[in-house]
Amino acid sequence: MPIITVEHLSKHFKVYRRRTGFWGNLSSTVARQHDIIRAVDDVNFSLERGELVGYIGANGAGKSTTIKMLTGILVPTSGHIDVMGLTPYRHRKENTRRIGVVFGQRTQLWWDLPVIDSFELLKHIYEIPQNLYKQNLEFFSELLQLRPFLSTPVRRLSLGQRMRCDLTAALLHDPEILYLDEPTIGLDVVAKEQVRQFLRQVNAERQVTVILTTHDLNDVEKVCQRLIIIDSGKIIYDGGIDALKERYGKTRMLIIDLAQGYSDIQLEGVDLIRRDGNRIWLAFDRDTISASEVITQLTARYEIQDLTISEPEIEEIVRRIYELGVH
Amino acid sequence: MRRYIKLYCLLAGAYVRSRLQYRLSFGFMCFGIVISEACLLGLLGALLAKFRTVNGWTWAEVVFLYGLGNLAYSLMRILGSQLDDFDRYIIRGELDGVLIKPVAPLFYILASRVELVHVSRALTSVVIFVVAFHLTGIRWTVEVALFTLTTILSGTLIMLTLMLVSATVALWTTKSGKLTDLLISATKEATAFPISIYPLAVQLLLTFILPVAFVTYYPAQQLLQKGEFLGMPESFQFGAPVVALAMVCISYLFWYSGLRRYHSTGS
Repeated sequence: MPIITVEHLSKHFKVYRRRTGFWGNLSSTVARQHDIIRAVDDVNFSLERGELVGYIGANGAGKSTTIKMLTGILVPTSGHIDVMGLTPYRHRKENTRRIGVVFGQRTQLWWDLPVIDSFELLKHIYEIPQNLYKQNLEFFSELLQLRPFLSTPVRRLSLGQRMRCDLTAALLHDPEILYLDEPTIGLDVVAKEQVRQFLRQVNAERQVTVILTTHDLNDVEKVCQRLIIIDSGKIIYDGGIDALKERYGKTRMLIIDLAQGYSDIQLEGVDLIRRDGNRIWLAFDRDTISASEVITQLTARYEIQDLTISEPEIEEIVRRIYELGVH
Repeated sequence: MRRYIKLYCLLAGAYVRSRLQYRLSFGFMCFGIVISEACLLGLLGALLAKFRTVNGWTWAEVVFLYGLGNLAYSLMRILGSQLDDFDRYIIRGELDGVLIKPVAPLFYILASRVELVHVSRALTSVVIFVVAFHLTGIRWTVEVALFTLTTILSGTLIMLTLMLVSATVALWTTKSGKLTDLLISATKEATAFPISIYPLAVQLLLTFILPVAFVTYYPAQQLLQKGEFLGMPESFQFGAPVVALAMVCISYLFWYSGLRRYHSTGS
């Protein structure tokens, strides 16, 4: 029985067109025309309890919109969401008691008060029983080494310390699901590593299901077992990280600056992926053809100014997927 | 219900403690408010010394109106300061942080800022009001005291709900700060003078559209026995609680539909 089921989920926004200049402004105010933005477009996935999932996509791909629908902030245009048997926007309050949310860009803590005061307030807001609260506070203070700054005002914490507190704040009420929207944004390498390790541990020891969005693919590689890639509102990949590497990792990319714009480029065993003026992107499978063979073929037929060959890291694979789509 | 009362105290307390982190700024704000109140009162006194009466209202009677209005106004500012710049909840996305908590959003927003700076204004108004009460020669009875109390509470609610309506506009337009600022000062000014000095259109506006005439003017008819009804029903002098209740319903419905819109657009 999945903990989250999302079926044919869509969210469309109306964006009103604005024209520039006085008359343009006036006419777009009087006769409003709009475009429909499909922020999330027919998305399907399901999560089992205890999964650790990375939800990634370029800016504006629909990550945050999906998270907002899952947490009950946004109502879907169409489709169905089931989170622990609840429909988040319909059972908003009930749902919020069973989930934890961390926004990397915005703290949920009381800015001018000591950290511990925020935790105390959350205890009352979520109606956490005193002994459970004590136990959890103990647990997280230990694990995240919060003790030295529990009585420091939040505004004086470093970003890394604050994120540790935000993570604690989101978990004090023992949520079953933890949503993290860019939890490592702006953190230094050490702090990032701490957050990642913490997420793994919370997931393993407390069976918390974790969904995180990020732009740092190291987060995904080090924390998640599963990766969902969304692009222009559609899911373009959903599977294991190893499978992704296996599937796309064999492809090599050759970027070539030609001396002149040839009208027709034909090479054996090579796909022309993209062309921009005199620059071309070629992809080939290293099992079928070697890089030197491709270059030999090329130099025999065309005049080349420069070339780069790239081996796909996870970062590179994903970047290529963002840029070119799934092939 | 008990949970909400407790939460209100805790959240309001958290705000007050945050505010007191900056004691000097808090002190200056209080001081500034008292000074500005004193200046306004001085101006009012100077004007009335020159003209003696305003449309048949004596100096004491106008100060009475001013004190009554200001009392409701300062209570509104204490309880509803979060509505002053509500649009930052939308601009900075803070509303999302509210919607992920198991609490009614409007309650949470109002409770998380109880502005004690305005207590200084409230105290000033109490002094002004008590003095004016005495000068107008109204006799204290239990009925008068109850009526006065109801009037102040109703007035606070009328002003608070007007603020809420204007803040809620931000759920459609993203920005509403200027509109709220305008409304804040307009309501304050409008309660300080008898509305009989305005043209009919303004009288109608202040009675039926922005019903701030029910904060001071109509209830004062009862307390001061002026018998000035501008052609409106005499029962308007007891109308404040009814208007307040109606405004609570209307503004809540408006808020609710704004929130629904936010749920579907997120901006």
